[in-house]
Amino acid sequence: MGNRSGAVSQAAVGLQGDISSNLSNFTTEATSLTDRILIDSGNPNKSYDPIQEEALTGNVGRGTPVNGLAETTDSVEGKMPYTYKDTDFISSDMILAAAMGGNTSYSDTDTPFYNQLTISDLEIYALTLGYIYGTANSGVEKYMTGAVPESVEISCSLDGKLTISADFVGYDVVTNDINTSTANYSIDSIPNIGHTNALGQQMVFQIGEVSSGSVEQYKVSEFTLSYERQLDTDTYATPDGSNEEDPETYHTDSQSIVAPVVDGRRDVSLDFEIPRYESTQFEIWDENSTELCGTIKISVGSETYKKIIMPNIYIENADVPLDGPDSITQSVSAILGRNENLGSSIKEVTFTDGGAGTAVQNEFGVELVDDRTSTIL
Amino acid sequence: MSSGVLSKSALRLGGNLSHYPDNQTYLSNEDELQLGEYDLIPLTTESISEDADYSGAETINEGYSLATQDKLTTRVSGNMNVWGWYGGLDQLLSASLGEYNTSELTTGEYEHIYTIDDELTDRFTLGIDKKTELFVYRGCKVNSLGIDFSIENGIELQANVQAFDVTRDSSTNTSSDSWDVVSRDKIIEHQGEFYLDGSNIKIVDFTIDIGNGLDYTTTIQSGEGVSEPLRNDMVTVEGEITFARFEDTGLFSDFYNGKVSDLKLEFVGPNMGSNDKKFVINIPYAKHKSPRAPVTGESKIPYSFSFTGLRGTSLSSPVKVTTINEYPYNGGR
Repeated sequence: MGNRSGAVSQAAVGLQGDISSNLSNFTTEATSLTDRILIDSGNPNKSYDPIQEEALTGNVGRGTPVNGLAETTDSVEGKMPYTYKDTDFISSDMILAAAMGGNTSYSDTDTPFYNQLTISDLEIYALTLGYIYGTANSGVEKYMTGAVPESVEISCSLDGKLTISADFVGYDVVTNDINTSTANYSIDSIPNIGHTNALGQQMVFQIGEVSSGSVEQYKVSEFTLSYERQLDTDTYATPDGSNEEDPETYHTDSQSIVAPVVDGRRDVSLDFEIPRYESTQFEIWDENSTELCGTIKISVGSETYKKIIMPNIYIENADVPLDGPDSITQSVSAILGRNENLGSSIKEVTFTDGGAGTAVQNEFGVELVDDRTSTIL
Repeated sequence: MSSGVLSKSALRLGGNLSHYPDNQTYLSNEDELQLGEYDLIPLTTESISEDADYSGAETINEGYSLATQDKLTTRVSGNMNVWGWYGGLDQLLSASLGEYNTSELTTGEYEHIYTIDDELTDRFTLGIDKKTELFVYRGCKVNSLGIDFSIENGIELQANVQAFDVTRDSSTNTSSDSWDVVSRDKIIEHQGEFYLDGSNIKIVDFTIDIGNGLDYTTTIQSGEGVSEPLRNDMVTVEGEITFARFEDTGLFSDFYNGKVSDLKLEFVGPNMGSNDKKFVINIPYAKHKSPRAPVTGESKIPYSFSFTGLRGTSLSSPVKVTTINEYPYNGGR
């Protein structure tokens, strides 16, 4: 057995496809893993609920259970660098893109390639999350198929890197011992160096009243954007294999979940910290239920950035705790809503589109400008 | 004192029992069969109880309270819930549906087909060892049988049993040590597939209730006990199916068109050598009723429909249950 410490482990992700248009995209693993994800931690896991003895046969001891329904999950935490491209990528953007479901782009000959992520009401993308536990030539390959992000958090503090964490449900987890079998994916061949990290010190936060037509910069020390999708991820059913290409019926494994569907209104929230309590503006906005909009942009130069666009921000709480002799800080919690003022969009709070300024229609959109020159999904 | 976990139950159907008991005070062995190695049933709960009608003083006779009370009809009835096993259900199914037919597929491997019989003549002896005492119910019949399936919890059967009486000091059944069954393989929920007119459709719940409509009354001849329960109404077969997803409106069309469908829920278990163990419920003429896709809030829309099992123009049974297992007998034994 070789070195199986986390230090020498690695992970990558590949796209399976939209399961709302073809359910076989949920069950069929990606042909290749294309994006190395810079993980801090991950845990692809498939566990079975044991079916225990129910009948009374005069015995106090338990009989042998059999495997019942399976629960397949993963929780990933990692960094979100600016996408680096060799043949494949170093990038965590595919996780965010899959969670949001919408991906368009804009480019012309004189401008960089703008990847634009939007929240889709219908599309649900599945990924393959691949890991090597230990070294690439003697470790264990694990990969999770049908990995659908249930929730995603993006966060950054001034003293750190932009990070992403995501909880997944999935269809299956496959394990191969690389010593005794051939790995399905060549994770080790994806580049692991050359990228530029997105840092908190590169961050600019802007917010303003929709009615004012402008946004202003505010100094914040950290933020967390939380996106809970409210998917149905725990329905099991007897098989329905009548037509693999029928997007609405395909389901062949009773022990695995039926492909997720939307099961309620999604929740998107933004929390941020203001390091100096200098203004009562956020309390006023909270008091007046003022409709706000804003952006968070992390950039290196004009042609490498990640920009989060939020067209409808509602302040839920502007908390100013007086909790000691230290300088007073402010914690602000906000709910992000869908864009109900498409006609009054502020130019900064739109996708760039060569100056056209396309409005973000749902709770948030993300514009990515980096090495990638094609859509992610 | 005893615990449920120490309990066990057995059921033996007897088509050759001489006659229905008619003497409750004399607990003879008539209509009681010796329970044994093929008769264990996968009991989970039971609530069979003795009850009686009483007659108090109905005349004015110098007092505010009853002086005496006369015991009239005694009834022994209640429900028992049974877990789904590939073996261990055959005699209960025979007793519940009435018509049974067994064929040996290969040596030691049998197919049993249970259908509704116009008569429900066979009675069974039911034993429940409660450790404190062995309870033996004789002259038993099944008034109704429910079969519930859910993808989360598997198969469970609930039988409403009507017995002539119960004894706690039987001389025929004195121990449960020999009670056993040919197979304890559980019917696992994910071994099931559902077919609607031959097409696979993913479901999460399936329930069916078979009502035998037995008459359970006393007569002059039967004294305090009941007379033999016999069919007193049409057999009813009602059920409901819940689908995993609301994906099309086919059931609504079927309902409007008055369609009759062939429904089948089939479980395939371990292989016995030449044949797989099976448990199959088939409703060949299921009338579509009450398709429902209610919007219950923000969450996914549930989709279900109920049905009634019909006899059909070919005078077939409104429900057919098939088992394939090692149980070697036809009906009872």
